[in-house]
Amino acid sequence: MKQTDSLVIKICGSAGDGAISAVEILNRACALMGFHIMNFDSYPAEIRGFGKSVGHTRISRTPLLTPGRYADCLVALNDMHAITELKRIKPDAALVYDSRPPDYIEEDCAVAGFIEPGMSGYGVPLRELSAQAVKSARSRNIVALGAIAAMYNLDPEAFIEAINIRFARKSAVVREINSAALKMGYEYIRNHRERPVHKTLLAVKRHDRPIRIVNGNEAAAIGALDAGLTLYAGYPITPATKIMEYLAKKLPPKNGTVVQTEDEIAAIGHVVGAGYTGKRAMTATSGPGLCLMTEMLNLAVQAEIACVVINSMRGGPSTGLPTKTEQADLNLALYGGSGDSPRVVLAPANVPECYIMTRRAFEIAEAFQTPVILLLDFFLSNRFEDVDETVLETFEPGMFKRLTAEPVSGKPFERFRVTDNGVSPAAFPGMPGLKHAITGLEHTPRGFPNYEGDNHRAMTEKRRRKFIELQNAWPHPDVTGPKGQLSIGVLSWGSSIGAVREALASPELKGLSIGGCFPRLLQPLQTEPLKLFANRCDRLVVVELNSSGQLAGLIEQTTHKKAMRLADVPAEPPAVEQIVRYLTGVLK
Amino acid sequence: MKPFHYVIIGNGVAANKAAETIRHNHADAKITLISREFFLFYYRHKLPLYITGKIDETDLQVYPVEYYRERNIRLRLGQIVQKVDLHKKVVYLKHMEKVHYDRLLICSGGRSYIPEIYYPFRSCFTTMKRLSTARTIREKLPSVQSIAIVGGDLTSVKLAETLIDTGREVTFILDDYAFWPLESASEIRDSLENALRKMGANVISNDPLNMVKQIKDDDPPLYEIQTQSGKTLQAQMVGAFFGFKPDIDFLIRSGLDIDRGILVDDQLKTAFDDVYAAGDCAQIYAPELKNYWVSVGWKNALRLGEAAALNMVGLTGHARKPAAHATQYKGIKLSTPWWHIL
Amino acid sequence: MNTPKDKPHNTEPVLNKRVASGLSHVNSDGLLNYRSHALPTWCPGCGYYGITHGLTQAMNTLNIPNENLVVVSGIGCAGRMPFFVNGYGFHSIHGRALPIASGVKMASPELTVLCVGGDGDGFGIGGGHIAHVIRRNVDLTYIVFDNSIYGLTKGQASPTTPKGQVTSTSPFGTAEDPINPALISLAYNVSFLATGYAGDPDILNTIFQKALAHRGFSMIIVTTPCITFDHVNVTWNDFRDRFEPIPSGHNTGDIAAAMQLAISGKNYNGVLYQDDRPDWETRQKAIRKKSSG
Repeated sequence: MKQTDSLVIKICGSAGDGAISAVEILNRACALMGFHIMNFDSYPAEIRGFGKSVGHTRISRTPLLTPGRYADCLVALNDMHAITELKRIKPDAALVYDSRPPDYIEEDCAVAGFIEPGMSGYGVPLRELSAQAVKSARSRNIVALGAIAAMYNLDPEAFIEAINIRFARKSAVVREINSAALKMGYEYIRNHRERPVHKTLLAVKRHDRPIRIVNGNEAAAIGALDAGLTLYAGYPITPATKIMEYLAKKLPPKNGTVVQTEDEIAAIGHVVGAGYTGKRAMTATSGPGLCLMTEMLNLAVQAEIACVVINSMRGGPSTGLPTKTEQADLNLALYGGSGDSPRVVLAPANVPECYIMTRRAFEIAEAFQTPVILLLDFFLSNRFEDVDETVLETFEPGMFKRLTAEPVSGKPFERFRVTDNGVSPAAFPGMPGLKHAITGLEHTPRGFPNYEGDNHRAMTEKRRRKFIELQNAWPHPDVTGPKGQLSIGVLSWGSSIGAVREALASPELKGLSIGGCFPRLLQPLQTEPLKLFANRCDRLVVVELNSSGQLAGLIEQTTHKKAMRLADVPAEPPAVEQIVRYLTGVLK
Repeated sequence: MKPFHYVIIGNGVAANKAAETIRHNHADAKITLISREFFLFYYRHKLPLYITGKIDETDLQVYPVEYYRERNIRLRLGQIVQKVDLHKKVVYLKHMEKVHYDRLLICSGGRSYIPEIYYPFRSCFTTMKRLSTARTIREKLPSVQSIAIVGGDLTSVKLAETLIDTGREVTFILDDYAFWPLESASEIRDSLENALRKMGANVISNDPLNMVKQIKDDDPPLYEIQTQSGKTLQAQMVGAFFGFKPDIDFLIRSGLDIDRGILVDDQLKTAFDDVYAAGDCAQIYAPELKNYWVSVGWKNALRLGEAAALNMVGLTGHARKPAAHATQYKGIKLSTPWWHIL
Repeated sequence: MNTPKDKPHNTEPVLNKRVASGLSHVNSDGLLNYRSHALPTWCPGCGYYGITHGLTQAMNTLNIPNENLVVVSGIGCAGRMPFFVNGYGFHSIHGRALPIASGVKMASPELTVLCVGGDGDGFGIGGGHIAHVIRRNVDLTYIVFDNSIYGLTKGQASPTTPKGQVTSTSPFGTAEDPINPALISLAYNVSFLATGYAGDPDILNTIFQKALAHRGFSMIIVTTPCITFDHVNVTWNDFRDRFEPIPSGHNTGDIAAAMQLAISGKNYNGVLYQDDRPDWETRQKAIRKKSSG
């Protein structure tokens, strides 16, 4: 029996098999026991009723950086779908399958037929036990959870607690029969296997604080709620839709409004309109939607209106890979639009940061009168992590504050006054004595259209100058690794940071002269700390999920140093193994 | 169109030689090997070395897994054949999967044989036909000092040697059943007895086993052995080595003719077209004898596997009954026939 | 016509005394309260002056607090309107005035939000938004300055240009049929629809008052000549004669009757349709109540 630091479990089935809800219960149970979890399910873009869904979660004693690619345990609720997942399991993985299906399965359609030396097959009569417990095959997923509890020495009581939470709104009977199903799976493994335990995790202490299990989308939505969002306008698009769905439930009770617009142009139009009146407004979209929004974002730059846009990236270009992760919208976020169009681009690296940075985004947007784009991606949007509620509670607002104008009698109000730091005091409809008009045309300090070079130059400079303060005030990028000169400096951004950090901590790379640098603020880029880091490194490697190396290009521009690119588009989160291999190769 | 599918039940030397031969002659066929054992094809005669830790599991492997990938041979390891339907040409696996074949070769080999009179003591016996049981012995062995061996086939002689080499006390209780399915020949027994004594083993002969019981459930456990003459001795492990019997339970009610093995003609074909058998589980007709013989040993199995495969791919291969000859082990001459007319 | 987009000019207002005295009657009426200090950039003789006058009168009559007045526009000659109104103004981008105005009103319902734009802005590039702002019934007043031409870019065909008219982009006459914006709006089930004529500011005044008082989305399509680029379709010469009052006995609550008027081929000065279904904010209040209960 092996001991392990973390455990990757995949539950694979057709829609309706309950693979995803089983993982939900597993997450909850493990969080109750005191483990950390990171959960990243996958399902195809097609209507879920026909597709394969794979619940994928990783359990660990220590905080997790990635959900891991290869599973220690694969549960097959549907054999055909599970067969396609076999390439993503460890050589010593356990396979849980239904040992007594109603009839013989056709050749090569039974997952148990693919068990290889080194693996452990755990045949469990999932259907039969489910039928005994709940009079139908519906709870096969719960029976399988029971088996997992036995296989990994996890406390079945925590699972029952999690079942009670999951089915809290259902009848007591539902909770009881599902608990019975769980126990049946548990007992079956304990009674029918000479060696029931596949691997064990080192024990942990139960949490004494409430733990929330949230994904990036929810964390961002909660952040927006806590920031005092007034209006959310959005158009459904994978993988951002869940943000709107969450807010549609939670914003109206807080006197806010959620509007589903006719398209993304209208969505950002509503947000800009609301921002123009000084209220906090947000939209969330994905690449194709952000494309449509660029003209309106340009307007917000020119007319200096606060707005927050979450862009959850998916594979592109065009409709691309709606349900696959990628980080290829960086250039669009940084540069999309006409003219010199500076705006703020932030990329959180994990779920708690989705919360924190969404809250911060509103402050930045208001203080610097600018659009702020938050770059999430399919992976970050959909991965669940256990979040200590104190992280949410201890957020300190007010890092950046809005500068509001006061009327001065006899003097016309200059909405776009050219100031040293580029920020002009703002005024909003409803404020007496500060009436003005704004425009997407280049304009004078009072806001009247003006097409002269000197004015345009002064205004362009002012719009750029605003961000110097942000550059200085924002925390410097995380830098890891040994001090002094480094053989390799690895940079990464957004959701890929976790995989890079895990790679750098791997036994293969630990102790070597490799360091990491992980910026969250991608525009304006914090030039000085990046240059400092780059100067310490013999070579720079940038890890990101796009094929051209979009951050790498930016880093080269900033540091005047060539950057090697581990820029890949695998249509899935970056693999720690690949990063380790690449960096080992660079060292040779 | 579906490729022509050769299914081979077994993963021993006959099965592997057959797979290799089929692939050589039928490049685009589908070939599947089904083995109840969870291991790649391994050298059985090296198991004693493995048990005493002189070699590791990888040293037992005949081919690496890449060998099968390169030849596009599908390995179904750890999969148990539950039954076959020779009319529908389907193999039914215990994990509830159907495998359809166009031609079937049965090389399921043998499994440890325990004579029926000793069945009551089965739970006390340790056997070593398979790698999985060998692995268990290997795990238990460090705490075991005294070993009794009941029976006494060739494998057990080799095992005894390595056990004595590692300083353990070995007692043999030679038995007439030891050379099943070969009938006991006194000359074998005598030379064996001499060899064992020379090696340093205690030997009890002409006094078969009467009873075994476990008297201590500890690590290591302790067993008490009683012979028919009333002699008793104690040992921490009791090995049962009575050779093997064909592993063909799944063929019950299949319609195949089975005597001590699967009856095949001299081209290894059964009464069913497209169904062949080779290796230790086959009982082969020799036209010159007008009788059947049973193959024993690695080299025989190799030849039979090849012959069966040739017939299966449409060429011709004949089972050649080997001439009787002597085998030698550790300088001890065991004059014994390789085959036996039943 | 006003200065084209690409010609540098400065509209920083310079109010000379001659102009000030010329506007004295406006001043005495209180109308100047709703005019900014910037002078309109429209061509002398443009129909937009008439529309602006009607609107100024209406706002003055309703006494809307200036600081609560927001005028949102898109791009086009009409898009310049926010600069000429004494209130808050947002001259935005082409075709997107309605979504922005909706956002303004949704986030700050206490504001009076006017949305103005031309036929190209509203029915061409921005045409997709009309259906949806109507569905939501956001409490906006949307005035379309319909001159059937793209004036700011110097005379290209618009969605309401009659078929066969020669323009700079249709030298052999347009191939398309024009749309009927009144019919379309009614088909979208608009809650307030009026049509009018730029040459009748006083009638427009009454229409605008009704529209501003309407709680919900009100749409006013005002036909107006472009004296610079259209010399054949809508001109001051005969257009007044083409307009007539709403027939007596027309029931403004009857959408089928309103549609009949819209397809009659005639032009009407007045309210074609109005109902009192709940506006967006009222619906939101109901949802908020439901969500907290």
